Amino acid sequence: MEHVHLVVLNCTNCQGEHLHEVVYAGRLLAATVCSNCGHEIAKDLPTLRRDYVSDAEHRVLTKPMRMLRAAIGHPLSFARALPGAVITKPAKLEHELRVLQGRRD
Amino acid sequence: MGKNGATPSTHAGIVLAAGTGTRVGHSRNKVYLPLGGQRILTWSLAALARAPGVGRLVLAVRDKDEELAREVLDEELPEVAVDVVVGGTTRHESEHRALLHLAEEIRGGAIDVVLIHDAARPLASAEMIERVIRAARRDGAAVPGVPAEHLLGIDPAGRLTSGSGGNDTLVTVQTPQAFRAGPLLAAYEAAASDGFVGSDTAACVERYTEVPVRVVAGDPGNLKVTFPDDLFIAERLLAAHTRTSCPRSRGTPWSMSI
Repeated sequence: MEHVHLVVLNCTNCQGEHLHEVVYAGRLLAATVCSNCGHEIAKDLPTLRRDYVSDAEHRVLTKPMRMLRAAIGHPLSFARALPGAVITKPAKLEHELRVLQGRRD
Repeated sequence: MGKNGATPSTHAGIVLAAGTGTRVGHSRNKVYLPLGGQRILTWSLAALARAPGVGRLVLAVRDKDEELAREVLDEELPEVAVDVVVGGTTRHESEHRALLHLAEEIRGGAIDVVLIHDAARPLASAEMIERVIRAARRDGAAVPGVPAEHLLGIDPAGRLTSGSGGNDTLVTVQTPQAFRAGPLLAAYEAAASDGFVGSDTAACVERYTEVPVRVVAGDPGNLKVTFPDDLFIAERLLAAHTRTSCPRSRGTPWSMSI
């Protein structure tokens, strides 16, 4: 999953439809930032970290079954995507840890 | 629901994702945002898929989103049959195209009720969907509404034009909205002949048919993702509902402290 999505939302601060960055930590919503005024809405970090740990447990426990399903359902695309997924995993985890530290860089 | 199409007198759900939100540059339609382990539109589709009697689902998407939509459906709702159609530039046009996709089955009587739902409303409850279906079967057309409180009228200069209070007859309208399929299709065909473009489904039905549009109790929690705050609220609510949500989907189990 991508960690930052760009979507147009109505900004509650500067009013009107503007591009927003929607930042995730894993599968969890972490923050939104308005590109027009910079208004940021973010989960408080202790809550985000607690939720992240809880969700990570689910992700780890269900990973084998999800991989098996993907391998059976779409063997070719699974085989094609697997090397890339393995290679990019450390970078994804690093991004998630940065978000959990409250960093947006 | 099988993958082989409608059974006699089934209901059909149309989910509109073609006109939801503006896009700028490389931005994405907000209904494809992940929330609670699945895309927003997946939750919206799954809510209709779970409703009793709904045997057909149509998703209206933007031309450029068609491939993405199919990927999402394949990944997140593999066991639910969803027809993807390319919508138009307006909500009305997208509804019309989705209805044309179902026209043969509607004319043949295989589909008796059509639900129209915004893809950006991932939290429609089963109870509310059942209410609108029941009301549509009984009266012809039904929309969910919640009381619009604290409304004040203002003129273009921003001056108050009416007092507060007494707004118990005003409601904000939600989706899904349900309609008897035959009159709904006829209304859109008549509108197309006239070149009429309605602002919402009920407006078109009221203009071209005698079918009364009833308002049934909506759900304050059935929010439409519009503001950034809505994403955080919706995520919490989806986490609360997750154990009963999307039983047909293969989304990863979702856990979140609430």
